[in-house]
Amino acid sequence: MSLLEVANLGVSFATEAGAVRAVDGASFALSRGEVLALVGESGSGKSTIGLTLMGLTRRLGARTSGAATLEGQDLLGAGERELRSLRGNRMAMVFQDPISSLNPVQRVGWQISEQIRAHQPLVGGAQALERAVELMDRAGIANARSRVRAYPHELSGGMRQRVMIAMALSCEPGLLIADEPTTALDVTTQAQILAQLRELRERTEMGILFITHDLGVVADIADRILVMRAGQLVEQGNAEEILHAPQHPYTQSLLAAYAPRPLRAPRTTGAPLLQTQELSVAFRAGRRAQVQALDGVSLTLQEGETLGVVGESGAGKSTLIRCLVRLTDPTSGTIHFRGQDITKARGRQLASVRRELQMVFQDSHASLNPRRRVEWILAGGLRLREVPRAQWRGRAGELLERVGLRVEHLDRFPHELSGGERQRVGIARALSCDPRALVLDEPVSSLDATVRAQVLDLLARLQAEAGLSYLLVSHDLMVVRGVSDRVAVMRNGEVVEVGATEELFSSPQHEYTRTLLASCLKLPGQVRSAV
Amino acid sequence: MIGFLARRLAGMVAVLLAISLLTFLIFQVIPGGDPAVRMAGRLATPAQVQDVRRAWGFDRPVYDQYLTTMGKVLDGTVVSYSQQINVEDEIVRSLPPTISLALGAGVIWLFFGVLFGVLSAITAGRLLDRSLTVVALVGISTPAFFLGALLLYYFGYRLELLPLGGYVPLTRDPWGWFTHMLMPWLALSVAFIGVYARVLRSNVLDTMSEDYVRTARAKGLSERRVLVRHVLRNSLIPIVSLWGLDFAAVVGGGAIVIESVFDLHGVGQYAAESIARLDVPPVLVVTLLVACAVVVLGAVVDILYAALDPRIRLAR
Repeated sequence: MSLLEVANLGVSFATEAGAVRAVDGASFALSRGEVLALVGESGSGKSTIGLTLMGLTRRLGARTSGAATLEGQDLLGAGERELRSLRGNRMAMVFQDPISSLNPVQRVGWQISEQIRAHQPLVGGAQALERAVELMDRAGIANARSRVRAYPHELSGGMRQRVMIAMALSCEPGLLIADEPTTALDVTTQAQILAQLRELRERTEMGILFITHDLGVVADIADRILVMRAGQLVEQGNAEEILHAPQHPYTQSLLAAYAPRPLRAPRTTGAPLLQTQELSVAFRAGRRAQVQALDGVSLTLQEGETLGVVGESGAGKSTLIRCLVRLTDPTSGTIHFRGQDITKARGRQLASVRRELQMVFQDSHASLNPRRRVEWILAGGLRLREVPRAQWRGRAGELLERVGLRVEHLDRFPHELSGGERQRVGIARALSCDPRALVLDEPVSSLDATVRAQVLDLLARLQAEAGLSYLLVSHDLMVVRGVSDRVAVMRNGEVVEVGATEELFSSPQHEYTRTLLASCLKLPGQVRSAV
Repeated sequence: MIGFLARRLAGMVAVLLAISLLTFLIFQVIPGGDPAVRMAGRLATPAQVQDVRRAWGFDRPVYDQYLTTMGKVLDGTVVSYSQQINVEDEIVRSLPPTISLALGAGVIWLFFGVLFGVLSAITAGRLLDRSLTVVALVGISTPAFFLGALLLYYFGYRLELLPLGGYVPLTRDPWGWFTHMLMPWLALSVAFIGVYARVLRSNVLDTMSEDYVRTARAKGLSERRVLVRHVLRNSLIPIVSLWGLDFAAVVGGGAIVIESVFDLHGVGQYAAESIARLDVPPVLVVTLLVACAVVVLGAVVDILYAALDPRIRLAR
């Protein structure tokens, strides 16, 4: 008998527009000691399956059909009390965002021991806390004995996720459901957490249902793969088979979206457009401590060029961007734009620099005014350029067509657009100012792989059409690779390596660049064509 | 935590100094004219005005006037010239009814506000929630003087169950104290209960959709434990600060209407009567008292807040 058996599972939610089927006839099984990856893009219903197995969609008004059993015990029909004795005890879940998934006002040790005591009433408080220390230690948290008294905000992202894992394992469950457990983490931290999960599986014979949108992670950990699309399972099989010889066209397109883009042919680019020299920013942290967010960064963006800037969180990417668009004042160093020193630009000069140096933000959902239609959003830049009001609608429509949307999108609100469409609006908004250069801050990191490829194509096309320069900032080397002429790698506020894309990928000089490269090349296709 | 405490207390002292200075300016300097005439009251003779001028230092430089004024307030030697009564004695006499009112009503409105707020949140959208919402809105929009008058009429006059106003000290007659305070407590609490229930309802609903509440359920905790240790523990934090400031306002004489309707002779009523007589010294002292109550309780609330939410201690 398998550990987990799911037969013809259906989940639907009642909405004002009628019932929405989130999962439609999913059947699969998971054995002990196996890692089963559930892969799909956003909205495919993969998280719904995980939450439904845990009984956590019940209070959201989900209606379920079919059957799901854990070690022969019915999950869908189980009463609330019965289900509660399984949750956290025989099946546990690790969520995507470890900071919002931990209670901010309770110590992490307390949160772990609470789960132990909920299922093992005979265990005393001190004993449960002792177990928490042990679990945290085993989850790879150094100084677990003192960290057990830490609050979640006092730990780094990777540490928090280890706490979540320690908590999930506290009652030695047979089934671990991991819902995007590494998505919110840096690549090097991600690799550590995956290693931790692999080690766990070997040691405990636990079955892991690993839910993710990231095929790179899947290649690293999965024994078998289920591919989901629009609530249905389209393909399942061994990891090797699916990654090397996918049968279903959707799986093929997913993998294709992950394949590295061909490197750009070397191009001749123009004069320096944007230049930083020895740029440093220091923040005060506490009474005496100082954080050196940027440390002597000298970079040049040429006319018509794409310069990729890569680094993990805390590398100083955001501070660099904030300096370039003059939201943060550098402590020392200079910034030149088109030959002018803009380090201390103010008033009219700053306004004209900002118009020519536009930004595209990561989270298109948060950066577009939710109460305004697309037309209004695009009109802002036209107003700045003193385009007559009568032409606004026509010009805004042209902008949308340039980014691959249609005129009818003018009358939509941001929430009526998909993630990819919203990011296109974000790009059109930047273009509405007729800029010379775009600063792209993680422009595709919140998008699914297929949409991501489309947006990157769009950016390449716009650059060819208008001769724009891009400063593309990303934590993901693979995003930067196919669209950049040159790449700069940042770490701890410093640029550790900068060079032509091809050279940087084929013969990385700095050790950190090699680590980054190693942690993102996981898919067989990637390794083959990237190096 | 100790650093936070020290910073917060130092901040409190600074704010108190600033408030004393501002109050002094507002009362003595900004209005222009002769401050001694205002202080002495409407029926003072020129000789009395001259005495006041000397006593308060109005013939000396401004900084001297400030120090003299604060000295008199702190000494307890401020006198209402028109009444010939020491103001601080009068305030000390009127504090027990006011504090009794604030404490009793504060406990009642906190208890029922939290109770109704939680009930409302966990039955959100259902009949009980909707009825409580209506009741809360009626409570918020009923004027305290009207409610007070209704209570007095039915329970005091028609049914003769409770006394028709006045204050009996707790130390003299506990039961009498209780019966005299019961109606004022209720009349004052009703609007607060409505507000607190509404605020807490939305706090709880927001907290319920937090990821960590989902985690708590995924841990297999009972629904009661999820609600108490994870939802309420977080959503009650803002209620603490709300309560502290409302309580401070009542202690400082903010419940003028209730004190007057039930004739409690509290701080608020004293201030109202002094204003009606254009008697400046008591108004000055009561103003400082309100400000101090709010500032001190504000600091207490902040410290409690930091104890309840560890993230606060970092942000300064």
